Amino acid sequence: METTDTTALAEKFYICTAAAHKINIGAVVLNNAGEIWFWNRWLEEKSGLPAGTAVGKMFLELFPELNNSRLASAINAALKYGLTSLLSQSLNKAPLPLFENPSNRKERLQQAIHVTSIESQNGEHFCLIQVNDISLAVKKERLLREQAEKLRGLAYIDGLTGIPNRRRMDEYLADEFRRAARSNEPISVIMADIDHFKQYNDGYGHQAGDFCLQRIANAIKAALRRPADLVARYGGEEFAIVLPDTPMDGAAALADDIRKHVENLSITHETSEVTGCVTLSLGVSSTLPNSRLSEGALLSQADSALYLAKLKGRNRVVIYREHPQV
Amino acid sequence: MTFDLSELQRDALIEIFNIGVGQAASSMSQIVGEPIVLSVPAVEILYGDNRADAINMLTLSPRICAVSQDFIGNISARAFLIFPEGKTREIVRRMLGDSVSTDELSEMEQEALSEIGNIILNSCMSSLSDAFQTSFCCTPPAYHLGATDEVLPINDPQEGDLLMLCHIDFSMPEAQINGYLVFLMTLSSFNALVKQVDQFLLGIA
Repeated sequence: METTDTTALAEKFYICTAAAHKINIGAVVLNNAGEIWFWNRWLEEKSGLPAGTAVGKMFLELFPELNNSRLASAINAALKYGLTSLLSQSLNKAPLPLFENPSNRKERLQQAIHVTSIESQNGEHFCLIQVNDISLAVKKERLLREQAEKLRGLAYIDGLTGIPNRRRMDEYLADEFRRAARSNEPISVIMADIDHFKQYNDGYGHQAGDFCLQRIANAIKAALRRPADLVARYGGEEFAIVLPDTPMDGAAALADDIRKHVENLSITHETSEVTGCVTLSLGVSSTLPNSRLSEGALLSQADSALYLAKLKGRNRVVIYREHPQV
Repeated sequence: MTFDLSELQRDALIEIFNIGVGQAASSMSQIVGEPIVLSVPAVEILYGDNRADAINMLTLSPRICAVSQDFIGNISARAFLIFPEGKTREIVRRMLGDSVSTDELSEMEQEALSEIGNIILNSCMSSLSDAFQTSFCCTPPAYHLGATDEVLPINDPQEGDLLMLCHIDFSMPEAQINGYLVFLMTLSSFNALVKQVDQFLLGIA
């Protein structure tokens, strides 16, 4: 009877050990002193350390880089207090030196680690460390995140010209307005409109019109001087330029530069009454934020200056003044 | 019948929890390389009709994030760490150094939050273990998101007779949140807790 029991027990032990070797995650068991007691096949494969080398060694001597690490304190919590810990991949960058192919130790596997305690029959705490390879999940999440970022970027870009769209400009102007108010700096905006663009479109076709818009968007972009300056396509043939920390005279000088840049493109426009090529009219407004002007009011001031530029004969810059004279 | 704690008992628990969260804060600072401060300023016991108040008190925002673990020993409790949803996102993303702001926490972020909860809850329990010279088994951390009464089974009598509520303040540079640690326990566990606290007080007297 006793032999049968022993045989049955031995068989059970054999099968359980074989199962622990065959599971598709890493499994280490430490005894109460922190010595490696079991090291499964998955770990042999991913670490390149055979069980014969690992078993019997102190875990922290085998991996001295882990001294004082989160994994070491999780092991201590299991051995001393019987507590379970989770080590997430995001907060613990690949604690164990495990690799897809250990002979080519290029990039560590991304790991999610569970540390639990096992109470032995005489009440001693052992520690089970389970290691999951979550490299694929991490890659998938990174990909999703990149796509989300890209989509977010696209939502702020004008499809035709590739420069920021009106939504982006509105948010940017609001942010810069607040920043200017905090640091008590001036802020300027320029509204620009292509002269006689409808005639251009009618005369040369929509494809040529699109191409013209793209060239002008690029010309304005090229004329901007500072990284914080932003040009956006505001409407059909209208552009808005936000110039943080720029006073009126600086903005007016830049507006005239832009005007010249566009004129120098010499895009033929035979039906234009201005010069025979494509030109821009621009309106400039500027404020110190403590003037209590809203960003909307700043934009409409630039717009009315632009309107004056059109009235005055186009291809020119008009600065907004409180009581403008035609 | 009253289940409340004396002022002395309350102070002892506050001290034990502060030792615990202090350790949690230092391991979290080590992980993220930024100073993190955690403190437990108050402990309350809620039972009977007061449990309904707990729901209102714990409703920090329309939805709350919680991490729970069950602790089993001569004092058993289901423990929850609770934070308002929006602030939780902020903290997790700051800890991960990530600026992409989707509305929901991703799977990886949920796991990171589970680990944060795990660190805090385990530290509190090991501090209790040290003080009471007892030990607990525990389950792995679980993540929850929802309305307060969905996340916390406060009104389910099978989930325990009363709850111990600890305020917890979490601060890191430029971010501060107030949350709660909630321990749901049976009357017999609460009695065991009070007995252990008294023994602890005798020991230091």
